[in-house]
Amino acid sequence: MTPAASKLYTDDVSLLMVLIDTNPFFWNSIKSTLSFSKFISNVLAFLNSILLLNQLNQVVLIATGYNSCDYIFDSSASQNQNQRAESLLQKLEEFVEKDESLCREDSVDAPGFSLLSGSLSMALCYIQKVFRSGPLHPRPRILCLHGSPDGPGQYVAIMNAIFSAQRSMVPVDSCILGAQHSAFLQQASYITGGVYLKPQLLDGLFQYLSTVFATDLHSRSFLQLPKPVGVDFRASCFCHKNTIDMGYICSVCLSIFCKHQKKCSTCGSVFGQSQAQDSSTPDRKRKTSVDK
Amino acid sequence: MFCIGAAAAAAAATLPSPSLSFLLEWNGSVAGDGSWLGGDAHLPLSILPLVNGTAVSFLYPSPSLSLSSLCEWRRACRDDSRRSGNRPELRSPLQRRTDAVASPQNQIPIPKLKPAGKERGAEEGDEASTGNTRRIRSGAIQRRVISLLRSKYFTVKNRISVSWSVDGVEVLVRKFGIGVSNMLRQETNGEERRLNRDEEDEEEENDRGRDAWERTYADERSWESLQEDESGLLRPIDNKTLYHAQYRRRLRTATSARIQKGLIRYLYVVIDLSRAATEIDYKPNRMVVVARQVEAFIREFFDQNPLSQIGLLTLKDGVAHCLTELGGSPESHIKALMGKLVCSGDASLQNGLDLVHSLLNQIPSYGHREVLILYSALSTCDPGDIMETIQKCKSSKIRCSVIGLSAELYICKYLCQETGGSYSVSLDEPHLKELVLEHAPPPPAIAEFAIANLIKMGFPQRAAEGVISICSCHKEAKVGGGYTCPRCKARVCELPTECCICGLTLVSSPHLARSYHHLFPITPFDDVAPSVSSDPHKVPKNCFGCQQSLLAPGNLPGLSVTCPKCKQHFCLDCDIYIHESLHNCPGCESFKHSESQ
Ligand SMILES: [Zn+2]
Ligand SMILES: [Zn+2]
Ligand SMILES: [Zn+2]
Ligand SMILES: [Zn+2]
Ligand SMILES: [Zn+2]
Ligand SMILES: [Zn+2]
Repeated sequence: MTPAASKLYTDDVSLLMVLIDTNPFFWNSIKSTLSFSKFISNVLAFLNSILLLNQLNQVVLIATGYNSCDYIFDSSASQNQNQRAESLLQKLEEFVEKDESLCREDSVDAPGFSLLSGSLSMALCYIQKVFRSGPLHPRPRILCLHGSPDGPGQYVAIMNAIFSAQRSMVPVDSCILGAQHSAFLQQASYITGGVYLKPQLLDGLFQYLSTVFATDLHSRSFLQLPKPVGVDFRASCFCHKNTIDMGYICSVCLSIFCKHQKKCSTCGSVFGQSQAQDSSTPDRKRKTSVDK
Repeated sequence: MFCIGAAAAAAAATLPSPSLSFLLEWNGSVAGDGSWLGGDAHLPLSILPLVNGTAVSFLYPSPSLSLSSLCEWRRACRDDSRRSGNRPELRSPLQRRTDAVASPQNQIPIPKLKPAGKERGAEEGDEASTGNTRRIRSGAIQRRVISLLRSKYFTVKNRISVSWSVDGVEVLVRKFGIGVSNMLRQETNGEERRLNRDEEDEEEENDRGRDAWERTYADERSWESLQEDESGLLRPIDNKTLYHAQYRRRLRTATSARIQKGLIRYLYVVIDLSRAATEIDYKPNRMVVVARQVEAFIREFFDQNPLSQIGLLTLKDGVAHCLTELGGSPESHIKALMGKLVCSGDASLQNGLDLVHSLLNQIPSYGHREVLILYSALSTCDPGDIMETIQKCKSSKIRCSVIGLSAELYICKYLCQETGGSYSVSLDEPHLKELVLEHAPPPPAIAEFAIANLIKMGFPQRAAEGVISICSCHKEAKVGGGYTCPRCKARVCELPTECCICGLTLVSSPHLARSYHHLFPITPFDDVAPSVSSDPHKVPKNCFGCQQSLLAPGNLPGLSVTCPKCKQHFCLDCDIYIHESLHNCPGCESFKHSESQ
């Protein structure tokens, strides 16, 4: 950042971390409704409009790939204002190629999820750097443009990232491009106070982006933004990584299992008694709220 | 004549940090002729004057200027203000003193001074005019400097040396490597002896006036984060590497002792509301302070122990009252507590423990039973043998911890020792807060204390906003929010709770997930050896996490750490953030092959 800008940061200066999903399997699956190139041109227009909204706004683009994640674009680092798009596209292309080369043969058959936990963690590290830069900094937020299904194996990592974002008061906005809702991002937006949106028509993506996600955090309170259509609070079990709505919890470490176990695979505790104490006796008094 | 040469130049050479930042209070504390500062010392001192208790942004511009000139300037200011009643103007001290190193760039900037306090200024002025300047508050100044030195060095554990000279006889007190408080004691003793000769009653007066406001500054220690640079200006101290080293030590001890945590806790907080709680040594009184800390504690506790429950008990009039039963809703506890803040009578530890014992005996075997007692009284008024009660608690595996507000009590100490709890006595409100919050994170699980068990739980979904439905807990129609029990599809308002239709324990999975970083800690990062980091091909230019340049100024390789799993390099700030808040390695999360573990 130039010192000449004299850091006139008011509360409407934003740092927008955009995480775009570059999972080739996902983009292949929705080729007919929205092609990747069309998506990118929408995103480019959106990023440009963010930068035009306020001279001090800052935009960072991180690609969430299938095998890796990387920084693609940082408006504070790019010198040449005129060739923003060119440098971005070139970097993105390099990234996609590299990401593809890391692909292993055997993993192709799966529907494939992208590494959202990685890009979220990177974005949070970047935001911490901005926080460290001094008392005057743009207000950060994260926008996930995500389409791939949730990777159950990332559950713990994503939850960790969500709580860290909540602690630093960074809202995580999510815009779902795929067919299904994302339970992870629903929770992320709900917990951090961000906006969760699943556009009906992907043709008008830019419309959605500019009307819902372009406003700075200060102005948000004056807008009627989409309300969450319910949040999926289901967890995934540690044993099979299935998403479950009922399960067994180890009382020592709170690991979640879908079936009754003899021994906790996480902490090694041996479960003494049967599930007699599973607190499912319907007739007990509610007030005591304790067993026996 | 009274002189203080702090960290004399000779000694400074042997100090770990050669530059010594100084903070002096200027208003009403400076001896008239400035000789006490040691006229010719070219000390690398920075001076941050406090005027009327407020730090003004006035930095002593150069280390080469002698302190005495500054002192003289201060006197000039005071004289001027007395004469004209105006805001003091700066008159260059350099014109007055010949021994000062005079150079044009050493002009002292005009500080924005608030007008000095009326009575104080006048009083000083009188002394100055009678020529009685030498004896003015020398002891007070000395003590003040000591307290400043102390507050600066107390935490850093630096070695300092201080030399005093009284009436021209120099007493050099030099202590290396001992605690500051030790040294201080010796010095103040000596000082008092000497001061007996020219005792003045105003001395005491001044002393009393000092404590109240100065302590608040000593507490904040705002000057500790300042450091002097080459040109003598103050800038934020660069203790990044120091912090990092401390953090690494913490990390190592934390990971080496990886222990199971008691994550499901049943805790009773016992609050002493006896007469002793009306004492006003804590402001406004102990009861209010304790209530405030308990409120903060309850919120923090539920944040860190989502499936745990708290109950509140009070001790007054010799008996124990149950304020709230065990429950998981912070708001209801806080409401109950704030409505019942009246103290009277005596406290009875035994009655409290008996009540807790009977209540905690009902909880499920997998839960950890704990009591936290906030005890103000210095005695306990018991109906029977408290030792028996303590043994009873011990056999029921109730972990009892006590935080005292007044003084250490043997019976409390004994109770904590017997039951495996911790005993501490708080010094003041911040300390009390610290002590109370220490009980928020889950304690190490003692295997025999609770039996591991599997608990059946449901993870309800949150309904869409704006949906109207009847909740099963309040039997009311409610708009929006609400959660649906996965087993019987009943609607409940809050989590965590139990379904009142089918009895299933309902939690939201984020509640559970808050503690998962205890289960899957990330490995500590390794330091990058200097030999490796000097090779520019091996170390990437930027931190993998935040893109910060890993190069130190001048394109030299800077400090960095590397993740032993993914081999990515991180800056020190990211290292701390990743291990203390994020609990994810961005590198490991960004590569598919590490997913399998
Ligand atoms: Zn399973
Ligand atoms: Zn376990
Ligand atoms: Zn209700
Ligand atoms: Zn139910
Ligand atoms: Zn970094
Ligand atoms: Zn790693």
